Amino acid sequence: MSKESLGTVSLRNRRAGKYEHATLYRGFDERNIEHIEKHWLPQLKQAREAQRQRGIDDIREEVRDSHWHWPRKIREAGRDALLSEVFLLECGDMTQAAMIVHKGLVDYLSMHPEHPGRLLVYVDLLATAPWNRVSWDNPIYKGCGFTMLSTAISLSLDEGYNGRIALRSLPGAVSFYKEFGMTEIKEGIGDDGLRYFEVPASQARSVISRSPAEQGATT
Amino acid sequence: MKLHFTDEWLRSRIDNEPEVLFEIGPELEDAGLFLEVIRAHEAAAATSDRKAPSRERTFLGAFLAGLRQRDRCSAKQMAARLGVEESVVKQTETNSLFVPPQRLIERLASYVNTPVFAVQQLAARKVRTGGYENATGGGQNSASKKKRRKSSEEFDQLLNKKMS
Repeated sequence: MSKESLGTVSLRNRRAGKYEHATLYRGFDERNIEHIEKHWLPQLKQAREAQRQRGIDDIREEVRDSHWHWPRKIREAGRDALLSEVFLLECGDMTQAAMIVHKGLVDYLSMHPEHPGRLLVYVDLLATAPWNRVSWDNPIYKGCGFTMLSTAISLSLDEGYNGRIALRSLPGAVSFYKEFGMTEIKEGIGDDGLRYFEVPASQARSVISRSPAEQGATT
Repeated sequence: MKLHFTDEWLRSRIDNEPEVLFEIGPELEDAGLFLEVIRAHEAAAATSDRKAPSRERTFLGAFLAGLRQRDRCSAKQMAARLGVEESVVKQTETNSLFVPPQRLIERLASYVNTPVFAVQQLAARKVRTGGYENATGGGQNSASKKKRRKSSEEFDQLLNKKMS
């Protein structure tokens, strides 16, 4: 599998208090898999073990995706580029965030009242490196989530889905998606209790162009 | 592919971004182990000397076939254990277009002592098994038999891990 650079974006280095250049990639290579296998997963597992030792059984927060088997999922997504895409964010010679999306699948049709039943880009998995997480001790990079979601909208625009994207949010991330400008669709809530959000076509371009002040005025 | 946002916009949003989690994805702890099982089953199938055409089936079908392999039972016997028709077991295993009845999902979940949701996830995903690219052709030899036995053992270990 090869990867293509989509350009340079900025991530904020919280520790240094300044922005750094990161490269956004479509696709992946074995180096990214190695980063996740050798750097992400051990730290996630370590965190989970620490939680267990503290007697915390609920792993619904920081470490829940340690079982997502990202390396395999990325390889699977890479096998059929017509249906799925992998996006990666690299900074400091390390993979900082990863996203897997499905595009135009009938399994994921819009539930938004503006265009029910229309095809869209569905964000299936999105995660940042353990050291970027807010509850990590002294986290490093900020901005991975906005970058990846904006990339999903860009893909949707490019693929002819007019910017429509959808996702199911983990409980701890609901406020983030609302802040991003997504609309919650109550009917989309799954049996698993995960809440369903969409960016409708009418909002897509403004979501990735309007200022935070404008965003605040509309939410 | 063109990015439809600017770096300036991104920075303005990051400056105002709340410090919250944004990860996406259903909890796949149980399904994660299922996938391990399925992969092991695929590896066992891949070392088969029988030249089979490539076919697509659901993860659920692969998992069900794997369970039968582990428990060494026929489709008919598995159907009896689950309380469903034999045709339901066969169709689920081999036909990616077959929609398994909810009672199969529920009884299978009960059979492997796992949440119904985890089994439902398997039914929604498809996996390609067999295939010319995996077929070795020719008759069986001891190396391929050993390899297949090893894959089956790995498969059993994973299932036992899940069941324990």
